[in-house]
Amino acid sequence: MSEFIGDLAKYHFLQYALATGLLASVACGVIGGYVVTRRITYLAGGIAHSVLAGLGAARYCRVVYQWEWLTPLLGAVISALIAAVVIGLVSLYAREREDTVIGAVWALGMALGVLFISRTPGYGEDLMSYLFGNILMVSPRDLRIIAALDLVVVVVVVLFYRRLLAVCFDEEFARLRGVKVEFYFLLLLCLTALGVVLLVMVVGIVMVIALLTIPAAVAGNFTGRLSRLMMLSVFFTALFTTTGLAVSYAADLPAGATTIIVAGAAYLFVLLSKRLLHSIKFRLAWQSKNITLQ
Amino acid sequence: MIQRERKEDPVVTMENVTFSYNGEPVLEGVNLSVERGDFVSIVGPNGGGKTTLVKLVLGLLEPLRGKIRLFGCPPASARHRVGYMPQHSQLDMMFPVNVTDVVSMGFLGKGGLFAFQRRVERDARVDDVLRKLDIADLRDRPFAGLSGGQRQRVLIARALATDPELLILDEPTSNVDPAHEGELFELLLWLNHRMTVVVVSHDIGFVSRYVRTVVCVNRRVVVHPTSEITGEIISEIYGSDVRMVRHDERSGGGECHV
Repeated sequence: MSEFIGDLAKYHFLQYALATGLLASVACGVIGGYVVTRRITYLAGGIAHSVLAGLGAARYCRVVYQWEWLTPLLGAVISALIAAVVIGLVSLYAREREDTVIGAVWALGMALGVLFISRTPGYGEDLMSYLFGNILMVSPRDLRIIAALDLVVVVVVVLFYRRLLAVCFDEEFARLRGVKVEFYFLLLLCLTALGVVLLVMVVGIVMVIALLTIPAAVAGNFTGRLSRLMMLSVFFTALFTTTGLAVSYAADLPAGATTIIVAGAAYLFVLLSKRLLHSIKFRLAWQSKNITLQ
Repeated sequence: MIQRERKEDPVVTMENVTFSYNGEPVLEGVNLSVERGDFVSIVGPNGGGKTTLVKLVLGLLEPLRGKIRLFGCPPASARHRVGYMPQHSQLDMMFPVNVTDVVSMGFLGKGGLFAFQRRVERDARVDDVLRKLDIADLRDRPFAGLSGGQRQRVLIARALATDPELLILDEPTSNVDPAHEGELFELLLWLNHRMTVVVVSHDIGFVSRYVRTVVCVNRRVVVHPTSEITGEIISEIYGSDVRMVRHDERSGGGECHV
């Protein structure tokens, strides 16, 4: 661990990695709160996987057409937003089964991404880092985009907090109050898309869902209010990504997978201790009842 | 064309309204009118179309045929004047909100998007409504941790926070024990001095004691003043299930003789 701290001062790539994790935590903790409480985890998973299409297309265009401005991160943002709007519009208006549509977008996005990657000249190594994350490859330019996305997410959530809360809790009542429910649902999905893209940089497409939901689920055990749940969730995401990065660096393990293991272990620990506390309380209450009976 | 509301306009009118879910008729040829200041109960068996009727009035559903007017206007443009309490089984009981959060939702939609209300001001108004319903002590409690009766009151508080002219409550007595049921209806009677009240219920027992008009819904709709409710009418609504809905004995009779 001391090696990690020592190297952190020396190597820029490590500083960027740490900053990526911390910056992503802000947006993802907040969005994770909505995803968990509104129960749209599967939807977020669909958006996450469709991101491969954007990553693959951006890389293809850079290599084949020399479009240097189209970074994979930008491609990911575009494809995630498209996926969010498509899933949202279909589930709002097409009267199709929502989970079927999500599943289709999920797989179509991946298929498109694989096609683009197979057609891109050169090595296909990037595929692995897209799928499983490579936080050590983040560039200063990516970092600026991540910071900008963070800002967008936080400003939008602060501005629309009460409306989003009302729409998530009771859509019908919100509609009766004149809140444009469809608009806010799509807005929520677009925010989810941005959060997902940030996490793809940290842990890769396959593991996004865990890092989006686990911190919020852990936080949910400590508070009964969405705003506090989000703040706690930001803290836990930062804790998990930082711990994951440090442990993986010290033990020479993949950072994304290590982060997820850390988060999963913490979740399990919280659930088990809650259970244990509950049964201890129950036993104490039972004992005191017995004593009074005697 | 701007439709102006006249004072004597009924609060709700339905003319020959038909509604179906996927070709299956739920309501057929409904004619209905609710007068200002009335206390109405919508009764009928489960699945008979009571909630559908309410959602049509609120413009949350569109009728297949027929005309619906709310305060003389199309429902969607007048529904902000209605305070609505949904069945609380519709809500996600794990959602992290406290009582103040829920009641504050009643203040939404007033002023524009950027008309920020000061928090202190909002909290004071929430307190006001909670005190009226005698639940000021629940202010900071998580909604998920409340009893059935407390939840109903919080949802009524949210409906009242909208400052409504018409109050519609869907199944306010489900999950409430009989002792609190009486309190709830005393409260609604008190509110009825200031606004029209419509209560949906699958339970006809308490209805007769409090309300003035009974709207019986089972695909078709029949309206009665409470005094006319007889055994034939009830068996007409409920068919062979009459035995299962004999509440008049428990509630002490009233005008409801089965």
